[in-house]
Amino acid sequence: MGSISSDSASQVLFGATRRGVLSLLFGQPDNRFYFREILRAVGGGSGAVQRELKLLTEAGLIERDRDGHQVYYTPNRQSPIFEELRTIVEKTAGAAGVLRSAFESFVASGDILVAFVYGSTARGGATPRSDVDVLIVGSVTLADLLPALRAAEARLGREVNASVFPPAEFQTKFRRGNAFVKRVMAEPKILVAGDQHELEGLAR
Amino acid sequence: MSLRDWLDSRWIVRHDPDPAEVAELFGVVTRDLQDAAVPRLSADWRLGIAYNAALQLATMALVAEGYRTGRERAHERTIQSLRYTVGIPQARIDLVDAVRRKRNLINYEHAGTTSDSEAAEFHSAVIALRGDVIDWLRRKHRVLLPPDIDI
Repeated sequence: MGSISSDSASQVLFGATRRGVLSLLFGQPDNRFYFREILRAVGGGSGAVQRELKLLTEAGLIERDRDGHQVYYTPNRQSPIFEELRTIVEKTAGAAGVLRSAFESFVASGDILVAFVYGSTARGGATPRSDVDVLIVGSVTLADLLPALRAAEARLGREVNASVFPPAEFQTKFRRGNAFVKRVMAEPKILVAGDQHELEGLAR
Repeated sequence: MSLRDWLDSRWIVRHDPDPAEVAELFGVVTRDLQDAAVPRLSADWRLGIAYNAALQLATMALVAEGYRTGRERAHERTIQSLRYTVGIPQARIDLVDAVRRKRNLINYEHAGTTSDSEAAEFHSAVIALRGDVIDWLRRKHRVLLPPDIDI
């Protein structure tokens, strides 16, 4: 059992699309997501995402509600396995979702521009106790970020190792060929703040 | 929780305060804070040196109160003791502890993960901690404060 990674455990339990949908919705259970937001976060075809949402709704695991012309989705807190499912997602596929939620207010205030998980969690080689490595680009200080990081660690049951780089320092280090910055830019990543376009903008 | 509880749990042991030891620790803190500001050193290294200064400041406060930590989890407990010695707010202690953890990783697998910004932020935090420890020593253990200490 020890050799099964949390990420491969989530791969065995859920297919890629279902894992993405559950990670987003159960990683931030207090938020509601519109179909387009889910599609953007999960990736893949809209038919596959729509199918998953329909199945999960019919199974009573998520709820579908209408707000004007828009339809949004939330986890169904009345489901008898809501808490268990949330825990499984957080401990397996949910590291990115938990961090996305933890960084939300810093993203909204503009203090975090881009953040991504790298290392074993992003590569898919993490064990259930692996640390989560996250690189944050923004003006936030480590001191301001610590309460959010500790809360994320408590939810994940894993240590989170954060590095905070101001945008100018990150860009300068990338241009000068800094070994660490070059390596993380070349490695697999899971974006938890910002988008691919902003990330690429930093690596020019 | 108090240092008394820590003593009962054997996390710390009795240790006679000695002005010469405090002066020696101050010397290390001064040296490390200077070295941690040398720009040609890597950010990882500067962070590690500033961390050592913070650790010596916490050790100094514990010594002034008549204790030193046991061998187990010595760094972690020395840092946490700042709450019971100098009365440093937990959020500031958490920053020192976060750097302790970061520093442990840097040594083994995460070379280069410290930014210049993080090293500078922590350097400032340790300078502030030094000021707080000096103020506290002046108020509570004046006899232990080296006479040539500047603020």
